[in-house]
Amino acid sequence: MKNNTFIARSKIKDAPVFHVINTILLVVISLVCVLPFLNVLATALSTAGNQINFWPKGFTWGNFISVFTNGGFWRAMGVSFLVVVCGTLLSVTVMFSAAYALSKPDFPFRKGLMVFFIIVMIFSGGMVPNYLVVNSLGLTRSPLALILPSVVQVYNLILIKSYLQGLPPELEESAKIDGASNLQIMFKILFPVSMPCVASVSLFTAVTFWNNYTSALIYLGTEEKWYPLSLFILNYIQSEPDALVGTWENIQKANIEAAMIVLSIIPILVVYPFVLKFFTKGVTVGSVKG
Amino acid sequence: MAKLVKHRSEFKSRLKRHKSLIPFVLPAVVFALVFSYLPMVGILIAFKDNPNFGRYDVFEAFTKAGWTMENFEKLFSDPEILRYVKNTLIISLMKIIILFPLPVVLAIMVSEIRNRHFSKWVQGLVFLPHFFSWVVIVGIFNNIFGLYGPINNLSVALGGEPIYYMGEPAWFRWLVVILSGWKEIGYSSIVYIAAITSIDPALYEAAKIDGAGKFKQIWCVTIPSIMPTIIVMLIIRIGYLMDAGFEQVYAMINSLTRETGEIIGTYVYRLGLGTGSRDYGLSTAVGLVNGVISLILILGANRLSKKRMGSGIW
Repeated sequence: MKNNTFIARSKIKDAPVFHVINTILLVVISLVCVLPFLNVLATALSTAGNQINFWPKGFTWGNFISVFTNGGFWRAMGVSFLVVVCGTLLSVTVMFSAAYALSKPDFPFRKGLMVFFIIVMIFSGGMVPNYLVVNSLGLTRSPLALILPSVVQVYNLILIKSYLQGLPPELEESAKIDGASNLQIMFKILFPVSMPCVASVSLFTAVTFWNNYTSALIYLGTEEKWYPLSLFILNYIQSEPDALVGTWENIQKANIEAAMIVLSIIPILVVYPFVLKFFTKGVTVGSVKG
Repeated sequence: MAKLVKHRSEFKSRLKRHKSLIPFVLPAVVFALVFSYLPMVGILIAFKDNPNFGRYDVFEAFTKAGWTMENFEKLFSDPEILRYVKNTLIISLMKIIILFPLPVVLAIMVSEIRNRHFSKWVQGLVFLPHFFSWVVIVGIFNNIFGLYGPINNLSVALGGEPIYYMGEPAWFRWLVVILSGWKEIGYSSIVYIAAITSIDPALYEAAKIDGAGKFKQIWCVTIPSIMPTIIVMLIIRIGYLMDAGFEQVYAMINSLTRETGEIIGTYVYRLGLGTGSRDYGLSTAVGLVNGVISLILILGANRLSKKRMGSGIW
């Protein structure tokens, strides 16, 4: 938000009733956003069979302990971290260097390549052809299937490209006079200057990789070894509890689910303050121009 | 002729000057060719007699299968597929009609906040659900709408019968809309908050001097000022009509709710890659028809928005 608008508008002292009602409604809306998280936290700390609203009943750490001792859960979390780190690094690097070339107004294939990439954004071969290509490359039993098909993020490409086009050309020209190569210009000059844009694009890419489960669903099939956390939890949610087997894990299934969900959202909550910072800088909104 | 030669030589000199830039764009081009364009060639499977890809490798199976239009004949006559098309359109339209106006309202409310800290907190909280995966959100709402969850607790306390909402075909589409709204209304309001921030405060002062109350100010200053943004967002939203939200619906659906909940995306997955039946030909055909209609809608939307606003999706 721009500060000057705030100051200018807050001088207007009118409609007290409107402001009271507006504030109350916004508090209610904020609560609606928060309460479901309290419910899942309360469920994760409760024993099964209790009516749970927003406070645990039959308090227990057992659900968390059950998740902590579940090797599959940690493995899936490891896969997710691996995919997020490698996927984000690879995708942002590839998109940045492509954006660098495409940001030159007289780069000879610029127009054609932009059309080439925009087609990627708006049309796809569909699930089965995608699967068959990844399968014939021999990737369907490997975590590479979660990374390589998602490297091209056209929206990020456009964002970075328009950011680079907005930089003053003198930045590069002086380096060129000093005899710097394109690679040096990109890494030593443009990359540091583009940090706000690169950081926000990386953050959004990382969140997308962390949350995505469709790639794993399509490409990995029953290869549960490489399931990322999102698909691991979905698989657990959709599995039928075997009511006849009265183990603790079976009775507590819904509560263990909740504990898994709580643990899986912690990384997002950790990076969220940084995400919010980029909104206030306006890096991501309204900066897309062809 | 001279012009053409000049154009050519100019292109050559540009090419020479920027030759060293080609390696920079090459990796992205290769990734796009392999993972986006190569599958587009695979669309030909839609015109093949159900090829047995499971048993042979792709190329062998592809050449062995005969050409046919059967998949498309089936697709336009099968009542099951038509039902899923209907579900897709109903869910998509419900989302647009019910959910589209709400971010505008929220943005207006947020921009009326006078306390900066309160504004930051509200924005931080309402944007938050957007950043969680559909798995997390469906997991959370399985509990909220579950037999022991707050909704049923409330209705039981009021003397009602508990309902298993997630397994009720009549409730499914409404739940899709509710969950989608919970996740995205806050985040979608960002665009409008930004648009409202850039309105000239003098307009409000002028309206006040003319004796306009708060609602009149909103109606006569705020809404007309952000109308171009609203229209562009609506056009883009309609462009994505055929996408009812695969990740959401796949995570929510179960065998009880298939009739009202199965959409084209989840059907294409179940038919082509789900456990059991593997009808690659038909699945690809359904995906293709859906993709082509989407493409036309999105291109139309982009064109319309460029015409109205001078800026499109790309």
